[in-house]
Amino acid sequence: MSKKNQPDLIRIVLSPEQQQKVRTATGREVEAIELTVQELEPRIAPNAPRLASNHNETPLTV
Amino acid sequence: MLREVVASIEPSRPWLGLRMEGERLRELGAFQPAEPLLREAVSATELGSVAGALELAASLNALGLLCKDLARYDEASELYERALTLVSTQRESRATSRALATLYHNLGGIDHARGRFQSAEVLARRGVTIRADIDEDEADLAADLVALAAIVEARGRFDEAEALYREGLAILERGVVRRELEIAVALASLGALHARRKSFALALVPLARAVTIKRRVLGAAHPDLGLTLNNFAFVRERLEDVAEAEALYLEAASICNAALGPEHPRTLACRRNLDRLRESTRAAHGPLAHEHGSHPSTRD
Repeated sequence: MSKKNQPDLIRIVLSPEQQQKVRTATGREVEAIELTVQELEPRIAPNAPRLASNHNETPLTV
Repeated sequence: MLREVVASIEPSRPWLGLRMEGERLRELGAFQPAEPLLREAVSATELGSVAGALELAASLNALGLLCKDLARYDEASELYERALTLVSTQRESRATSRALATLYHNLGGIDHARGRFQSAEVLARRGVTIRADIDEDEADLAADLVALAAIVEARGRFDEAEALYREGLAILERGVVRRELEIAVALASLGALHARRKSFALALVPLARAVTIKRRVLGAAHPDLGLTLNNFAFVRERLEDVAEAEALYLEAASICNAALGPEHPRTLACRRNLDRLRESTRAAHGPLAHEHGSHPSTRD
């Protein structure tokens, strides 16, 4: 379950099983994690290509 | 051979290796060898059953950028339009918004190059609006602002253009990750704007910085360096440093001729400036000291 509690920040509430995994791995009690949209996107769509942009410089002439 | 090698890097997605290598060569200014790879990348992406619309749009966009470099504006425009149609039909996401912003930026660049400044501004502003809403990568927004500034400048609104160049440059200068090439483009464009206002002394410093950065980032044979060298030479000439201006025009014309060919508009512009400088100097003082046999062989 997740909810958006402020702009650009996604809160993901962990299930009891997930909380147990975090406890085992880190020794910390964590009920939820919060990620910015920027942090989340590469995990959801890791291979989305980025398109390059052009430059508009022009030569000086008489 | 190169094509087979890069396509084999990731066999399930052969377009990726082709596109990456094509883009790398293009960034080095090696436009001729980049073209077959980017064309192959488009074909492979079209055929790839797992390739999504964004992948095909990225391949089309990469080939479009190369076509613009080679002054094939109609072809570039068609490629960008195809990519835009593909991306526009996708579900809205940050990735599609990013792609749309870039495609409008690039379509604006094509109309700018073709002298259609009014439509160029509409397209470029659409890109800026989309990018600003993403609120993600400030450096990309800065690059959009600098590109828009060039269009606004071409429409004669110099004060507004200067403000946009400075806004873009300020964003780029404070960026955590230094986008050196974008900084150089912003500096070179600001210098050129000063020159068009006939403020040649003001133009000197940003253009000199841009030349230094481009030489370091792009290498000594890149046509984008040639363009900035031409503009730096133009300013040096106006400041009556004729010998230095001639050497810079000569270098610019040689680089553009080698990378783009003798009939490319950029090569022609550099060569015209060099010829004009020599003619005016010859008329005033006789031949320049450097003139003997040093004209780039652009007519070979």
